[in-house]
Amino acid sequence: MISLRELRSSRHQIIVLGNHEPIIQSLLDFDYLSGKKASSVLAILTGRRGVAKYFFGRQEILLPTLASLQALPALVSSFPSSPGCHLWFLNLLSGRRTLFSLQELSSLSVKNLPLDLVGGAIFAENVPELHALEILRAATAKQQLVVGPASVGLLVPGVLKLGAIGGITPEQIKENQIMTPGHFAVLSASGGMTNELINLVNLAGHHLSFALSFGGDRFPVLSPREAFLLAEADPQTTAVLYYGELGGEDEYELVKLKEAGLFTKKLLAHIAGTVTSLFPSAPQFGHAKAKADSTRTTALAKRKVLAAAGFDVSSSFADFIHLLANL
Amino acid sequence: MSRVKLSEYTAKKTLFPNYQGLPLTSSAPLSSLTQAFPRKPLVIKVDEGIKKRHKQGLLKLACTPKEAFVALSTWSTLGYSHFLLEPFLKHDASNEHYLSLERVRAGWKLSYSPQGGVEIESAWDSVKSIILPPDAKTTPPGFFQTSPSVFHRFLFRLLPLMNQFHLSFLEINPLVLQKNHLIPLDLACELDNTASPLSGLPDHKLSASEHQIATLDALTPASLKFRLLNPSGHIWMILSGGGASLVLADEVADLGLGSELANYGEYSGAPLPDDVYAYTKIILSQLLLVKDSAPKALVIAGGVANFTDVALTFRGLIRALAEQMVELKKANVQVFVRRGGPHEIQGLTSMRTFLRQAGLLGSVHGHETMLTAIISEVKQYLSVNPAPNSRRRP
Repeated sequence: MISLRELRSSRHQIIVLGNHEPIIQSLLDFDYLSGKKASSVLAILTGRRGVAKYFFGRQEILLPTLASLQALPALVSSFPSSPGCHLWFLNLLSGRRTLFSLQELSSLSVKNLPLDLVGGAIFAENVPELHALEILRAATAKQQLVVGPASVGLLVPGVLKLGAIGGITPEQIKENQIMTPGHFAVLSASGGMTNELINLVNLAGHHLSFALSFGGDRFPVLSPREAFLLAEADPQTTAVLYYGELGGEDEYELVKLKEAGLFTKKLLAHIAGTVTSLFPSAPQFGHAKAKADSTRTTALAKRKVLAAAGFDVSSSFADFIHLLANL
Repeated sequence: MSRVKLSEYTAKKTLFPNYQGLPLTSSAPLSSLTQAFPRKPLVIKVDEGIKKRHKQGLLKLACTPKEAFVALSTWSTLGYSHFLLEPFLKHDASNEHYLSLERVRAGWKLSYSPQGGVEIESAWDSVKSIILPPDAKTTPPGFFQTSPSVFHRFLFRLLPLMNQFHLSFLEINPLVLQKNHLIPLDLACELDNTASPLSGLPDHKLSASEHQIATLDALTPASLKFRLLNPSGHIWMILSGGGASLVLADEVADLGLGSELANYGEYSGAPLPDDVYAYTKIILSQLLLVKDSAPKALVIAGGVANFTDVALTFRGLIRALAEQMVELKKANVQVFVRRGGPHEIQGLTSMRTFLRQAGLLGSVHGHETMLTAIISEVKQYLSVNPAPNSRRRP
């Protein structure tokens, strides 16, 4: 899997599957505000062959749109990518179409070589568990860095914005200062809370080393464990802000990493879901994974185990901000 | 969405083609029970995804049709409405096994014990678990000690069906081994309802407003969730985002306001103004059923959205609030708002202007205010003129 160090020293091109204009425009705004010379969006799969109008700064530009993915190899060959340029996908299609579109994408070849994708982001909620597991196995075999399903994306300040992460208007991008690299990583199970944490980092006067949302599904392709290891291996990251929820065993995995000496950086965690105690039986919250089937996976149990392992764990959201100020 | 329970009837019918059980509702006449399995002793049980039915007396073994009918009627008066009638299988308790399957990251988690039955909790040490890779064709030698070939046949016939119907969890206890056959007696099953053609059970009995919102949710690509916790509570929430809504609800509980929390819910995934309007309208009608004169807080809050347009979604909210502004004012409602994201300033400005004119303004905050700060404001507001205790539900 690509490391953050390598990611920062490369150029990137993005194939967007699905048409979501504000998100796509935000990738261009991010590129422009980061001082890049050109847009990183290579093509958009819209179901219609042609071009789409977008803005790069104040200049109107035309991006190629594809009727089907089969048109992609010809397009890729016509833009000979220089060495050190990485190809990513951003999948904005619905949950039912996610697996099939990615299978088609990985079946393509350019000059008899398979399309060399380093990774991507999957936006859709409602990707069936079985499909998510198939995507996961394919990505693992190819060592791709894939965030999602149900992820708002991956962000490396000034380098790569893969998804809605960090906001979609130029005002948000400027205000969140996501063009400027820093030292705090944000890792989150929730898309909205990813941005909330990015906002907090910014309000606290810091900048991001990177941010990603692994999504709140049961089987995220990039597991929280792998995300913690990415942060550990990243020389720019000095501390990790982590938002987790009730349900699942990810926090126990994190404790194991720490005990084995595989995760040594400072980590500040907020685990949501203490409200469960008000419900007569374990309820299902907004994210698919957010259901505590045993006392072991309640928010309180997970807060306790993280704190016992020596991590900074907040007892309320206000406490999280307080702890962040002291980082 | 997520995993939901299947009724035992649907699960058995789906997994075992020769399954004979009869699903019944409260209105079933005695004749349907007498005619189902003539001259056979019967089993009757509540079929609503409830655990440990045996210990709760929601399952009756070896009964006559008349006894089964009495049990069904008794359970109906307790509020249960779905039942399952099966022929009773006479067997030796020593032939009761336990088997469960759960879909996990690496494949299937298979758990098994030769000591199944109602006392499985106390025999939990006898349950062995292994992870089967998704393409497994066999289990490790010795995993099934008795009749391994019978168990293998049973297991590897089930797995493709579990995939075909997107079933994520299955627990059979007891699973009776009799004459080289495995017969599932009681069974629990969960479905990944993002993909399956089967329909699952709701995790609790839906109120009218919950039902309306579930219907609305099914009709839009965005996500609209609503759970009524306490219909006479004084804190009502219209929240956005799966994560932020949880953090906000946590704060209500943490500040000791849990008994006042009327509902939990969230909208997310960039719903259209019309969706937000319809969603808000249903919640407001439920709020206006609270008839006491004590102050009530309506919390409209969420994180700093990545892509959900604040101005657009607030347009739907304001329209619904405007239609009920007189009633809301009369009911002593104040509205507390915290939201950030695309077109935040436009959205917050229209909301503030509207709430001020309508006399409903609690406070309006943007992304620079801490997410959960308004819950303290709500606490302050409610404590100035607290709700009469007699009106509170225990």
